[in-house]
Amino acid sequence: MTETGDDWAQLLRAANRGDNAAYAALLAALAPVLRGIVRARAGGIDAALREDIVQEVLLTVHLKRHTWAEDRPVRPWVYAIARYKIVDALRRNGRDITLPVEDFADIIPAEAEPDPFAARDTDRMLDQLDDRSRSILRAVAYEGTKLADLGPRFGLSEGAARVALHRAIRKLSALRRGGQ
Amino acid sequence: MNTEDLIALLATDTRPGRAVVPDVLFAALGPILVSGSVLLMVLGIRPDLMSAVLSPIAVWKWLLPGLLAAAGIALALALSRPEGRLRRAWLVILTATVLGAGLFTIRAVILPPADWIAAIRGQTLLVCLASISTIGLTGLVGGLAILRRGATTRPGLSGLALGLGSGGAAALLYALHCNEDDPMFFVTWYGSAILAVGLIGAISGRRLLKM
Repeated sequence: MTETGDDWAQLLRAANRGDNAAYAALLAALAPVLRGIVRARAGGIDAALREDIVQEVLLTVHLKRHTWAEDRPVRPWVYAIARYKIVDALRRNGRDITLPVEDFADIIPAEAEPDPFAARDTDRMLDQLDDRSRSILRAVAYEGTKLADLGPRFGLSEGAARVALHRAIRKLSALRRGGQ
Repeated sequence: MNTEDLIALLATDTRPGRAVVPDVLFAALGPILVSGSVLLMVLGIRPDLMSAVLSPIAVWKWLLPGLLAAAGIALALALSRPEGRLRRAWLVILTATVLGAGLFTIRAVILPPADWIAAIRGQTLLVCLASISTIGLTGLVGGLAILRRGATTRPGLSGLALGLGSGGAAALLYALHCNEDDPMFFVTWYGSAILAVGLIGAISGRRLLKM
């Protein structure tokens, strides 16, 4: 598990230098670990809501990745975000718990459960977005549209498309935080 | 949206976030310097500044707020990272509080109880409270705007730290004007004004800094 932490730092460092493949690999490596943490800490709530929390942690990791200092380990940084989001989600669901962060050290990673209703929140929030933001997010998430193809498709320059995508993700995250 | 799709989505967004440090320093201390300078131009700097700085009692009007300013802002910066903690800053804040209470107590022991009320009230209490809290608030507002980029897991404490830091910096500047050197005055009112900015910071932090 400790080597995994070092891998994460390497991947995130590469991601900060513009390596998208490394970044996707990092997020893919984080997801099962986060699932394990959420299942261990919030096992009483249903699977779809747990996957919602996993997605919310990933969104936050994404939007706040500049707050990771490159000379520090990634693991405590991610765990602090996860812990905060789990407590927040449980509080919204009417449960109050204390969550010692050290306990995450021996969490077993968990794979996604084959639940067709998993992570309902993101779709519900997508429906509340403005049309262009929603179209951009759907094009990238569901059709795998690359950044370079996004501009022509929406009549934007590549720079404007990049900004529009980033803003759309921020709006999505803000809706998730405010709308629950 | 399943999590794989979300990951693909996030990995396509290459726009990096903007750093919190050092921007928050400029955003908090800039407005304090500007509003503090304006205030000093209006009220004037005390003519006996040099001898006050060298006085073993009056010098605490700069030392104590200075400690709070440094520790509060350092703590707010540390807390802008999700896992960030800074025990030393808390120790400094505690030390400044204990020193202030000590100065107050020593002065109270020396002074006959009949004179306590007059010593605490001083001559310029309202100007003192209004100046320090107003200057401090300008820094709090500027700093909070940048701290929102951060990722604190302690939003209330972050706001409190920034507020104490801004209030401390404001008191540091106001002390260049203020010629009331009785610890029973400055510990009470500088302390109250700094604490007020800190509490406003804590309340606004809870609302504005939530991730």
